[in-house]
Amino acid sequence: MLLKFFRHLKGYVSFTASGKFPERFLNAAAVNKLNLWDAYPSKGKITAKMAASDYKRARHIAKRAGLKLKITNKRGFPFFAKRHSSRLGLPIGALLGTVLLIVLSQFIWTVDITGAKTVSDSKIREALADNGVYPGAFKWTIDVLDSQRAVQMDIDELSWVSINNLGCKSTADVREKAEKSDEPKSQSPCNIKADCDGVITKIIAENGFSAVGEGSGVKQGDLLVSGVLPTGQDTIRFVRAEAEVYADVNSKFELKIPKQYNYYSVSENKTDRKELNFLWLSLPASLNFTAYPQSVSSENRVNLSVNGNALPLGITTQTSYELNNISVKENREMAQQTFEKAMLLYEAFENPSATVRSRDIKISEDENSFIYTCNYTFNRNIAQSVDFNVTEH
Amino acid sequence: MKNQHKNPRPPMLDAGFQPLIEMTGNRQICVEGSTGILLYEPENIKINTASVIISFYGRGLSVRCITASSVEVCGFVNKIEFIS
Repeated sequence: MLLKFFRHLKGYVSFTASGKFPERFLNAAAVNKLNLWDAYPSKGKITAKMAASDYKRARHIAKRAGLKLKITNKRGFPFFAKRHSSRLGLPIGALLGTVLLIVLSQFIWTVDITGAKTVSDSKIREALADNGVYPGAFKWTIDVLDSQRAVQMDIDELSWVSINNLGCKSTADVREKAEKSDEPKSQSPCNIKADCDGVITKIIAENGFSAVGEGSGVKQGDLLVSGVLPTGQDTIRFVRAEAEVYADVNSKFELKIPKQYNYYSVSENKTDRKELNFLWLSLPASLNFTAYPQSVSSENRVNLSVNGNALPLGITTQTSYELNNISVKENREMAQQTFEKAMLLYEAFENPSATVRSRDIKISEDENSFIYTCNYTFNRNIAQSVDFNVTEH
Repeated sequence: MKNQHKNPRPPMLDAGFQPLIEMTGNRQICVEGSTGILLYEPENIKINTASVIISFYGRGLSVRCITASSVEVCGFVNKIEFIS
């Protein structure tokens, strides 16, 4: 393959040597160190190939051997160049292409991000761009170590960043911080206290001395289960109290729903604008002058890629969606539905482990809004561990 | 004794005058020590050496490579003859 390439580069000729004893030419060529290949005999002649530069010498040798040489084909770059010498555009194009290749290879074409799980690629890409790593950046001005450090400082969730510039592609390999494991359970003595006011309904004490009984009313901070245990010998023992203390707890949820309000909604009207991107250059690729007074937009960039390698050439489509200002007038029924949904969310997310004992809903209204108030009675665990220090005297 | 001292090795073992023939099956033959090609035809190639003429018979025979002292023959060789 390599030999073929060099032969093509130097140029070669196919010829026939005809005469009385064509094998004499082979011997003479060998003695004169002429390189022949693909020599095939036929009746009274030999066809072979040789380097174009040797042909002149071969003609003298053939003449002395009593043979006549005739070129049947000319191949290779010198002949191609001679044939197309009148087309000046070809060498100029080749030269420009080479220059373009050299110039473009000095820039970063694409930035790839690997290893991100929860942190979004766009956030990392933005941080990289702020620190000099972006498509179109001159790659010799990028201080990789500085950029790595800066990106790690900018994005708190990252524990490690590595930027590798290979050719025209920059790859940022990132690792995210591991989540903190739960704090180890304290072994120091503690009391169980009430985290809010309520009436005790059930006590499941695993360790400690119960200070309240079922039906007792407690205030926030009252002692429920003590970690100080009396022993039978007039002494005390300090333990870590463990208990679940369930109590009925009152809670109030209030929602004010305005009778009239405005909001923006995305309409079906949209406008696409395309831009042609080449490295850092952006050229408009479509003419669309439609503008909306209120709009939101999304951007989608698609890069041209060859064999999985993204090229610095791409199209960005910016889509603007028109926003409509919608005015809503709420009546009592609609407000009721809104409040019921809000109540479900409150119960599910504010008190997820509690059981609802009762709901008391009150509705009132003023000039501008409906006011919904719901008084809840939840039954939930109000136990809260509070550590205490023991000092011996 | 005097003759033995002048030519210590028997002529048959003297590789300096004998051609070295290397064959890869019957498809490729390399002859080192050639002094020229005497006949070049698709069915018969005769190669001259210092001591013997080697004749290759077969079909589709061709010289793949030739230098001043070696020849590489390719093709389907049926018979080799040594003519002295």
